[in-house]
Amino acid sequence: MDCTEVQTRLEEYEGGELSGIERIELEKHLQECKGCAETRQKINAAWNALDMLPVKEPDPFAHRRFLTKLEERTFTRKLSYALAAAVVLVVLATQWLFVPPSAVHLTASTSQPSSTATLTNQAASSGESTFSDLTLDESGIAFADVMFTNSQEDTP
Amino acid sequence: MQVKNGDKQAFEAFLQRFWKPIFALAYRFTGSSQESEDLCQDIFLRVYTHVQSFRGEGKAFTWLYQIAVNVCINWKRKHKVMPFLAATEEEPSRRSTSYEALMHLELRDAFGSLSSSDRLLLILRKFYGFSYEEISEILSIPTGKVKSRLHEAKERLALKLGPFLEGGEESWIAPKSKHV
Repeated sequence: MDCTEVQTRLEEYEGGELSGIERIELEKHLQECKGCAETRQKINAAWNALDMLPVKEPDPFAHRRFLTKLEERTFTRKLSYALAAAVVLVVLATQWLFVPPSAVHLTASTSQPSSTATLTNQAASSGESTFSDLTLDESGIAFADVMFTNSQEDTP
Repeated sequence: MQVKNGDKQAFEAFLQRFWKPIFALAYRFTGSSQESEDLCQDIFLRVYTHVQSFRGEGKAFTWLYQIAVNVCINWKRKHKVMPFLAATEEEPSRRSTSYEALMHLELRDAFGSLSSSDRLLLILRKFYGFSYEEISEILSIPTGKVKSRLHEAKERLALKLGPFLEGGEESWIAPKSKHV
C-alpha cells in the first residue's frame, strides 16, 4: 500500500471496515511511513477533541410547550375552516331569502355584457334604435348604452 | 407506526424520545439554545405535517434525521453571516489561562468555521454513531462519498486545530461524554 491509498483507506480503517489483509498492510505502512503515521495521529486527535464540543440539555418542558402550541394551531385551523363555511352558508341563505327573483334575473343579464355590447354596436352601425329589443332585458346598463348611441347619432 | 395513524399519545411519546437528541444535534450545529429550540419546533412540526407521506421505506429515525439535517441546512442558508453561536453562551474568557478553556475556544472556533456538511457529517458519525450506510441515507449521498467526505472533514478540522494538536492525541482525550 502506498501513501495515497493509505490516506483514502484511513477512514475505513478507523471504522473497522477493512478486511484482515488490508488492515495488516495499512498498519505495516503506518509503522514504516512517518508522514502517514503523523497524519493519522492528527486526525485522531481532532476526532477525539470533538468530545469537548459543548452540548446543552433542552428545557424539560419544551416538547410539552410545542405539543400545546400544535394543538392550539390545529384547533385554530379547524375553527377558521368552520367559520369560513358558516360565512358562505349565511351569504347563500341571505341571497336566497332576500334577493327577489327579478334581481337575480338582472344579475344574470348583466353578466352577459358582450351580447349587449354587440347589439349596441350593431345599432350604432345600422343607425337603428334597438331600444325596444333591449328593454326586454330590463337591463339598466343596456338602456344607458342605447341612450348613449342615440345621443351620438344626434350630434352632427 | 402509531404516530402515522394520528395517535396523539404515540406522538407525545415520540417527542419525548427524540426531542433531546434532536435538540443536541441542533445545538452542536448552531451553538445556541434558542436557535436549537426553534429548529426543534420546526423539525417536529414537519414530522407532524408530513408523517402521512412517510412510506415506511428505511428506518423511521433516519427519516427524522433526514428532516433535521434539511432544517439545519436551510437555517444555515438563511443565517449565512451568523457565526457559530456557542460564542455567546457561557463563553470562557479569552484571557483565561486554563488550557482546557483555551482548547474549548479553539475547538469552538475551528468547528464553527467548517462548512454545514462537514459539521453535520462529523456530528452524525461522532455523537450518534450512525453507520456509513445510515449517513448515506440521511444525507442522500453514496456510501463511498460519505467515507471520503468524512475523512476530508476530519482533515480540515485537524488543520484548523493545528498547533493545539501538537500535544498529541492523548492531550485531547476528554472524559467520554454521554452520547445521545
